[in-house]
Amino acid sequence: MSFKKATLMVLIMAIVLSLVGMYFQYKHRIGTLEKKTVLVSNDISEEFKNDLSIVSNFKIQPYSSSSLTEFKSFVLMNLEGKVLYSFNVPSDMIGKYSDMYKYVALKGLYVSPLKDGNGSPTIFLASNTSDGKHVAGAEIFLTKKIRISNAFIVDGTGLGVSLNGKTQWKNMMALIAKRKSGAFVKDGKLFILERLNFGEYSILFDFPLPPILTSVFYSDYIFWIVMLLMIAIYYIHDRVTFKKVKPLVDFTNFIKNLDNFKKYESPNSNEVFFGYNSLVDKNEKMSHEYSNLIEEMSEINSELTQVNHLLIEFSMLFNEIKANRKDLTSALKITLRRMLDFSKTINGIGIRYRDISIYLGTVNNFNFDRESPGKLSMELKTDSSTVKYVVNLDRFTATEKTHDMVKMLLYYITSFISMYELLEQNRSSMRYDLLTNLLTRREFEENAKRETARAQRENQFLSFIMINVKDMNGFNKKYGRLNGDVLLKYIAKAIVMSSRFTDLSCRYAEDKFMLCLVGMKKADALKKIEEIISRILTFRYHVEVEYAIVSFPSDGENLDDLLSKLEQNMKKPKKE
Amino acid sequence: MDKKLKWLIVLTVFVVTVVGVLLFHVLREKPIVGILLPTDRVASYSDTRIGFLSALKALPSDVEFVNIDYTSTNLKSVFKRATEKGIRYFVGDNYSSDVSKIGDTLIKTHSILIESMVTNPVVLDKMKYVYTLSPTDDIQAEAIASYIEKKGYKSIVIVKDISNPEYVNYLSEEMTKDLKNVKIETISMLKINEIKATPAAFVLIMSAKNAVKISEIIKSKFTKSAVIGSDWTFNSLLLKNFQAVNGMIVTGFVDTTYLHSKFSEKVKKVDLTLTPSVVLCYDSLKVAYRLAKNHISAENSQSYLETHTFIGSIGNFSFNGKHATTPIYFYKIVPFNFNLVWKFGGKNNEL
Repeated sequence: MSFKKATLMVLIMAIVLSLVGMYFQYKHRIGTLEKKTVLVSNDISEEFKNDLSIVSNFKIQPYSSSSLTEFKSFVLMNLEGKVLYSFNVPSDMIGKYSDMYKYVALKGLYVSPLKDGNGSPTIFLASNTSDGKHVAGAEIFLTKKIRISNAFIVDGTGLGVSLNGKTQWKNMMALIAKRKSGAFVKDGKLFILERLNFGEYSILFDFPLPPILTSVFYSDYIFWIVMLLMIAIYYIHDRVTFKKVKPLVDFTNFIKNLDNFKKYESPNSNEVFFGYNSLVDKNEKMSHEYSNLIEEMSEINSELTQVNHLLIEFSMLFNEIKANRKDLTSALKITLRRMLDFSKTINGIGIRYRDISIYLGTVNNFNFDRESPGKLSMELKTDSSTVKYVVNLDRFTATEKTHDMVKMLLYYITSFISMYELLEQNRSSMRYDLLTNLLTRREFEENAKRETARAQRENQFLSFIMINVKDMNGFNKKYGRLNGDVLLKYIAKAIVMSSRFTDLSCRYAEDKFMLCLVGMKKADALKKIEEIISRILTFRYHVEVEYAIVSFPSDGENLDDLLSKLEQNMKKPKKE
Repeated sequence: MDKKLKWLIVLTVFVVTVVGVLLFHVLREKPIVGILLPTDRVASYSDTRIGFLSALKALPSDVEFVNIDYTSTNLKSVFKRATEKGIRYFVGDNYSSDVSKIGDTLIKTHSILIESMVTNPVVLDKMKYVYTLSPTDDIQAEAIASYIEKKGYKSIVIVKDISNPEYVNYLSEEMTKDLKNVKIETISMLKINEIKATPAAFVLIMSAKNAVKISEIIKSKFTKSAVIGSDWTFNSLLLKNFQAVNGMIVTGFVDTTYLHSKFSEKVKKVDLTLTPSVVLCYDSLKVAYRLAKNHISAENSQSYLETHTFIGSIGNFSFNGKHATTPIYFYKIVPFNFNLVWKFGGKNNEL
């Protein structure tokens, strides 16, 4: 493992460990705070319970005090709600219709919500007396002995009062409504809610969160130690590497200094120094321009090299087509793909040529004909058709040079397509006679040889018919060469119309036509020639033809014999 | 791997993480509803707090609620600070005159305020996005006037509180307009001792605290006169001082006899007396929750409220303009409790 990888792994592990550590530290601190709050809430609950016990035992002395609360007033009623004794209690709070009496009658206990006793928070407590014969109640107020700077006592209506010695009321419904007890974070503060085991009361502590988080962060010493170690290792590693490469760096600097002229710095600068310094400036400027030029040229060179590679590849693809190893469509697909990969500036490319449509990248069938910014559209003529290209260029990065380069490649591809067309034409002219569109003699002879061999093997019949136009030169002289060509075409058509799909027909010589009838006897061939000649004779000018028929195997066993016999047996038709 | 590609991957991971964290934060951000309550009159707001707290416990957590405490002196600045923090939905149980103070900020910041007890139609019309769960004072004045006419009182004295002048003056003026064949005298509560002739009824337009004091004076001097109070007078404080106000008729906007038993039990854990104020506050918080949850803008708030039905603690209710549609109930105060005696509005007026 390399030094870099190892240090990276150590760093990641340190971060993970530190995060886990920080989480547990945070939980630990919250747990500690929760324990403290439970203790405080227990103390206050105990205090209230103690007060209630004093009330139920009716051992209240006016103004008797306990540690945290003081009695303000008290009352004693019988079980019917008649007031037997009261001290300092407003009349609306006592009697058989009061909340206090009703609650005690129903539940045996009454703890009022917080009340505002002229600036001090008070609570009214009542219960049955311990002898079960009376109802006793007392109003207590929270003394300033309860001093917790960051705590509020909250009643069942959601009203809170601070325990910091100053009476400070706060509505806390939204804070406590959804929470039973425990810690929660809100508005950058950590709150701990503890339900008192007394009435509907709770105690709510709030702590500022940033100091807790800061202490948690600093307590995560593992992280800091690892960080320090990492810095130390890096420093040492850097020094060692620096020592190794220092001579090389010095040498490079020395070479750099040699290359550059330096300005002469002197307080007494005169004309000579001024001229020298301006020459240095010019030299620096020229060097800068020269380096830019070199950079540009190297860029162009690299692009040209790439273009050359492409052109070579295109040529090779054309060779593949020539050798029948690839068809034009797949070759064009490859060509366009190479062009798309050639530069990042080309976002898409498409071509339409005859029935071939190829779209790559951002060009598709739908946007091919649509104008858009950055689109290069070209329609180029090939030898016998046209080809349309669309290239989507990145309009922000495409330069004039890119346009030229793309155009050049497209011209090149078009020239390949033209070459392909010529090749196709050439291939076609080798097989078919250009005037009559019948097979050429060479093609016919090759196929006829194959058919003769097949007839021999399969023991089948095979007939050959030769038709010769008599005095073709005379016809041409009389009716003109154009009509002569029309006649030849007419004869070819008559032959094609009378021949089957499997038959072979060809222009054997300038004025000679040949027909190979596969699987046909001589008698049937005779009917066929009569049909053909009757058609030929319907030509608008007078034509004289003669014909010959030979059949395999009766007239010969091989093609040469059959053809020589054909030449010899030429005769005029009966109904000329 | 190509060096550029490496950097690209690192950069992509970083950007995706940052965007993810931000999106998570934004998606988690809930709409906020501010609960506006004073801290210098805590004793008078016990019912309100119980109502709000009960609703908060019952509602889901997809809307955040925050308490916004104010005193009568700093309401304007406290409210402004809350809107600066981005809070746009508020719920409260404030005086009409308190709402007037925050009206400008409310309109400027396009915030919505749902009030449980603001009833003054002038204030409501002025304050663009304030809605109330209570019927407006013109309806209440008509209801009290109808009650007086039904009872056949020929002379009445309207006693006005010295605080909350917008509410007090509007209600007394409307009542005077509605009562045609009744002799009416209107006085301030400070001049209660100056009344000489015994009227058939007193109409007290004042807080419960003052109503208790004034009722004591009326009881000692005018034993035969009936005492009628408005919705402002009716809260648990009045019930707890029943000796002074026993037999008094007060208006309220909720028939608590039809409350769901679970709801009553929850409230009675804290306080035995369930006043209309508790129920109205409960319902108003639910309305604010619906608006915030559906991100209803201030501009669309009225059309939303008018076209939707809300499930209240007693039954369904809807809004008609700026106030909810609810009958006005007349209750008689009996020791530590109240009995329904008449209803104005709804299907039939019943006595």
